[in-house]
Amino acid sequence: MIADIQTVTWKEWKELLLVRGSLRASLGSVLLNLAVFGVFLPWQFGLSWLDSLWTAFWVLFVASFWTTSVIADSFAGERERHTLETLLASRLSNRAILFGKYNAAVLYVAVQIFISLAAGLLVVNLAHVEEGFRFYRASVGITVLGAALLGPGLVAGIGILISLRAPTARQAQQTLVIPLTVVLILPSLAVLVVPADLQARFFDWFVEADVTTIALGVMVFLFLVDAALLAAAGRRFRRDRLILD
Amino acid sequence: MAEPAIRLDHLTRDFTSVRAVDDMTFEVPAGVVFGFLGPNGSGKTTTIRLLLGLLEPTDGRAEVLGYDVRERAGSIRERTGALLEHSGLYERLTAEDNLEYYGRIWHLSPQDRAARIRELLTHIGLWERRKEVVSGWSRGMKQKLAVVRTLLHRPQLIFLDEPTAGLDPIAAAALREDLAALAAQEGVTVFLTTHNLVEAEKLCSLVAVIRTGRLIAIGRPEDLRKRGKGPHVEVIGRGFGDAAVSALRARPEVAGVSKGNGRLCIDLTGDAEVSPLIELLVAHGAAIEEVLRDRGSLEETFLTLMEEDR
Repeated sequence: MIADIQTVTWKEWKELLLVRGSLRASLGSVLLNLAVFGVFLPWQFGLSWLDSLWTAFWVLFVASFWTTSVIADSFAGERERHTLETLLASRLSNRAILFGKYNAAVLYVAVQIFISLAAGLLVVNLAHVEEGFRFYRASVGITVLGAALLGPGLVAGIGILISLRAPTARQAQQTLVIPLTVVLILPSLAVLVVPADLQARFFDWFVEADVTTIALGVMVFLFLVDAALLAAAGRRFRRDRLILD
Repeated sequence: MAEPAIRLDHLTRDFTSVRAVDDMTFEVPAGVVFGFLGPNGSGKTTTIRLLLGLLEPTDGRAEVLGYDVRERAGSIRERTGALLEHSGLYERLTAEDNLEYYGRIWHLSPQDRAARIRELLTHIGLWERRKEVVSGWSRGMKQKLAVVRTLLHRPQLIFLDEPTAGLDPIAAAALREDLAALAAQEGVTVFLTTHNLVEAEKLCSLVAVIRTGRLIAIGRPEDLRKRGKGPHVEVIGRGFGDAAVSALRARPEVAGVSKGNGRLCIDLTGDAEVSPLIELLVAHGAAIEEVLRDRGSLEETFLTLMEEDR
């Protein structure tokens, strides 16, 4: 089972790195992500990039959006390109295919996030070289690492369920992006309706909060939701249903 | 007696309002190229899906390589290869990576994978192009690659669902040639669905004909041919008068005569000699330019069977 999951993950990564038929084009888009999230944002945030929970929010936001295209292409795209039935006719179990694809999508995004976080660390320290070397605050570091894995896991779980019903990868991605945008932009919309003093108190609390407790709570919640979504995807990802779809 | 590779026993599959496979019973001996013929929508692909355990039968049962399709579908898929309706190739990957992926899926060792990929790609003349991304390849090349992918793990049985569909005649002939050579070399049982009767006649030693999910005939192509309209002769020339036609119809070895467009078509009752009939025509003033004798093709048989079943 583990070897089969690794095999599917290997193929998914190969395809992701050759998404436009060439490694150069794929690396170009990875480098663009890195430039925005690993250089520009940390440079703008300065030292707070290493200390604030906002970094975790950004990680969640960016990782979620990056995952939408990867997961839609992996599931809906495989069916759209007529390669799924041949795969289902092979010796691979349903779970090996499902977990291999899930694993590939989550790790692909998480690795990009980790590289971006490392680049961000370097950029912030170079921009504030006079303050000596600073690392991510422990609780922030753990939170962003958790967000880098659980955020893509959450979107991947929802994405699988949507992709299994969508006729094309593009439609799956669009269906996934709309509710995600609403969920992630809701906090920004709250700014328009929540009184300014309440907002200020919330932000003060958020910046100074017991980050460890909040982060732990959020991560446990995300982990449970991820597991529930993956279980639901497992029930849906069955050969006979996939063939009839 | 050796176990059959495939055994169907009143196999039936219903979809909401359609019976796609209807009470089908037959056996496919091991080691043969078996042709599964039928018009579009006759249930060929559904039968393959049932035999691979991708769909559950509504009724009846089937065994593939001794394994029940309901109980042991995983064991069946371990020991078979399949080229389904679409080639199933990953177009962004190279030919080598496509085979590498399926070699890993079937747990071939790295050394065995490399050797097997080289052997099979060399056999079909694509070894030099192994590093190319397959999206740029012709359909014929892709189908050849898909065929060798089904053989990569040395399966005992392969399912090929219309492998030459959509290919030009040259590519189809080349694929047929490769397929016949590979099947013989690997000693594999082949379950081939097609509606190309020339293909079935060239490749298959046993043929089943289905229509609307029902089996209407099964046998060796030469035996099935006997169920068709039988041998006939086409005579091209001039002066085929009514007297000549009447004289022909009176002969016991003639089953029927039709005339038109400078041609006379004579259906024979058996493998009768043609020369006395030609002499008879000449005696009645006909000028003969060409005589074509046809033993009756599988295509005619197929059409006859379809008509009979209508």
